[in-house]
Amino acid sequence: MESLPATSSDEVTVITEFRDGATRIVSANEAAASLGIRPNLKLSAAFALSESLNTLTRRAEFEQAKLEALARLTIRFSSVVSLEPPDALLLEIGGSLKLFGGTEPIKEALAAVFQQQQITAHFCAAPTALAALWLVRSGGGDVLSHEKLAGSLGCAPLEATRWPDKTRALLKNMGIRTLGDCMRLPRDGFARRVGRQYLNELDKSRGSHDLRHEFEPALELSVHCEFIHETTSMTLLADQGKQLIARLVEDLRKRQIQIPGFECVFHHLDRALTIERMSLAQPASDQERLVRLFTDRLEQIDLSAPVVALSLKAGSAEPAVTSSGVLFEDLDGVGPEFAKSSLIERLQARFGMESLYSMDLVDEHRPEAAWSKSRQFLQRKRRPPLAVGGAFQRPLWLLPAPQRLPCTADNLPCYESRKPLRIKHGPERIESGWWDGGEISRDYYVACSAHGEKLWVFKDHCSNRGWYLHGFFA
Amino acid sequence: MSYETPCKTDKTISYIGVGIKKLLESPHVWRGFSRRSAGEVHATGFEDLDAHLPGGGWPAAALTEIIVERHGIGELSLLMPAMARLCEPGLPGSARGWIFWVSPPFIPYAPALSRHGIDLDRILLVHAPAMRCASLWAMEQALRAKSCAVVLAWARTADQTALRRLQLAAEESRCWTVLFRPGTALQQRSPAALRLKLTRDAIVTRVEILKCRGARPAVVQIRHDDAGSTEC
Repeated sequence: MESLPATSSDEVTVITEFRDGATRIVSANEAAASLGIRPNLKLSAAFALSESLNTLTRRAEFEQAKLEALARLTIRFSSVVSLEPPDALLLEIGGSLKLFGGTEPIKEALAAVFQQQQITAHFCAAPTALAALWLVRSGGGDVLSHEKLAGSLGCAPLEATRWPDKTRALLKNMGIRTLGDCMRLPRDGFARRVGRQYLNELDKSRGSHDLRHEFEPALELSVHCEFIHETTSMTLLADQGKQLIARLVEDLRKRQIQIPGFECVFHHLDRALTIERMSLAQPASDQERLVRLFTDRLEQIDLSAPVVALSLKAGSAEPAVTSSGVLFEDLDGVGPEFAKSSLIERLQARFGMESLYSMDLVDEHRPEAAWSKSRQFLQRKRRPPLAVGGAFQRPLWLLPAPQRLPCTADNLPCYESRKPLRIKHGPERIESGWWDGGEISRDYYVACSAHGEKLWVFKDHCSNRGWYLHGFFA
Repeated sequence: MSYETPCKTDKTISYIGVGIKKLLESPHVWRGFSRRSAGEVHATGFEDLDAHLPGGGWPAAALTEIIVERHGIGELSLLMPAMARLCEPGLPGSARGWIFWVSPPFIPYAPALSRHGIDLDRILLVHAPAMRCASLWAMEQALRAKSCAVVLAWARTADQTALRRLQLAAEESRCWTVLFRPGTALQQRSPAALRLKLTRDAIVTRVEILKCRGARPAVVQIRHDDAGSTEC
């Protein structure tokens, strides 16, 4: 009932399901129960008891979603959580006992979590998963040792197993009422007459190997919030964004992961989404950093329409790496790598990914290809010393593209003056790239202009035999 | 003589003494020959230039303004020796930050930088959009982040307030900050600790020290012999 949209508790409400050829009541709220509406009653019979009956259809997908949401909340008590649909969660708390100080504190903390979610929950701890499940269904108490397990389980009624009605009826006809009665039956006879799988379940409940599907929270993290009204207010967006980030960070912290960036999705009314991708220089799970990245970017975003909802999605996450902080921060003028990467993030957020880069050398003869932009900041690259153009000069400034120079009558280049350039060094012949379509054939010279600049010019032999400026010896 | 005894009593002398001392301590008074304020410096690698700069080098924690009329007249070679020294291994933490280029007019050519001894892993370059304050914003962020060893920036326009902010940020972050500006900036007053103007004449780069805290304006000529190490 708690997985379905909330209704007022005064209304007579039931949840129904189609089973055994009729729509039957699965669950009834207190108001309904006081009128005598019990589970398993046909809906028509229930209408006879109450005319103003409010019926809701049972939705398995809602229940599953709710169960998964609850599993995500409990994952901080134990890393091994498994779902037991439709209504149970199994937590392996053996490893958490020391941290929390016993089963009682864990149960109290879990109760607080469930209460916050407005979920009624019952807890039971037992040495095996199946035993805990059966005990909680039968309303039994905690069993903390293997020796007491058989005794406690023995009193549990057969209903706790939720075996099919047919099987239970068969056992009942044999005069079997409790699990204890089952366990006392001869094993091979039980397996033959009732079924091997039920014998296996009995074994599992007493400690034989029980393989369960472990719950793994979806890798994609996402938080979402809807606005009551459409908004264009940046203050409101920033505010909501901060709250979403806080939720995201809480999620990251619980799962001990960090993210390399996140996507910010602005939903508009009948318009395409605005999606902004924000990436961090280094994966992080630090709220302050994410918030700053978000607010910086928000200033730059040009929203086409009012926003009705905002969601944040984090793609691939990785295990968090935490390093110890610096004790004497001020002794070192430059903070740790952190300060360096946070600068990168701010600049990227403001100017875009493309406009920020570092540099790398490429072993290549063509001058424009002898370097490359690198966006792997903060990583030390090993580069062998390059021998390309070793004996020749290279300019500190390179033009983004060679600039055609005007020529005098006897084909000598000029630069911003009538007088031809004075050639100082050269030529350095560079011929390369015929195999990949970027063929060049150039004679490079170092030349001096009338204004005193030292230029790197070349004469092109490939196309038009013209003179080009390619750099400055600044 | 006329200046012999303007103050007759000890009391007056001491009073004037206190007054001058107070006056000299005031941050509003700029003393041309004081070497006291030089602070930390990065040696320029050019002896002539070092001799004219207070402390013998680029002010390591202040704004240096370099006015260049044209590009490619030796403005980068002038900085290369000091920058290369900042890339040497085994330096203290404060010198290990980024070498941050903000909106350079051309591409700083990696092979040449590498030959000058610049560690390419330390280079961070941003092309800020041509909007008025983008470059200055980037500079200020870099300075406030305290993660840069050098900030080199090219800005067409920068008003007095912006320069003042940069100068204060440079002082606070103890970062060598160099701002290249066009010739029109000469009309403007500048709060920079050091202000130079570069011109080039054949093989000589003329460095005109226009303003310098703690030293006199001067002109230094730096020869760029082809055989010399100032060029690559």
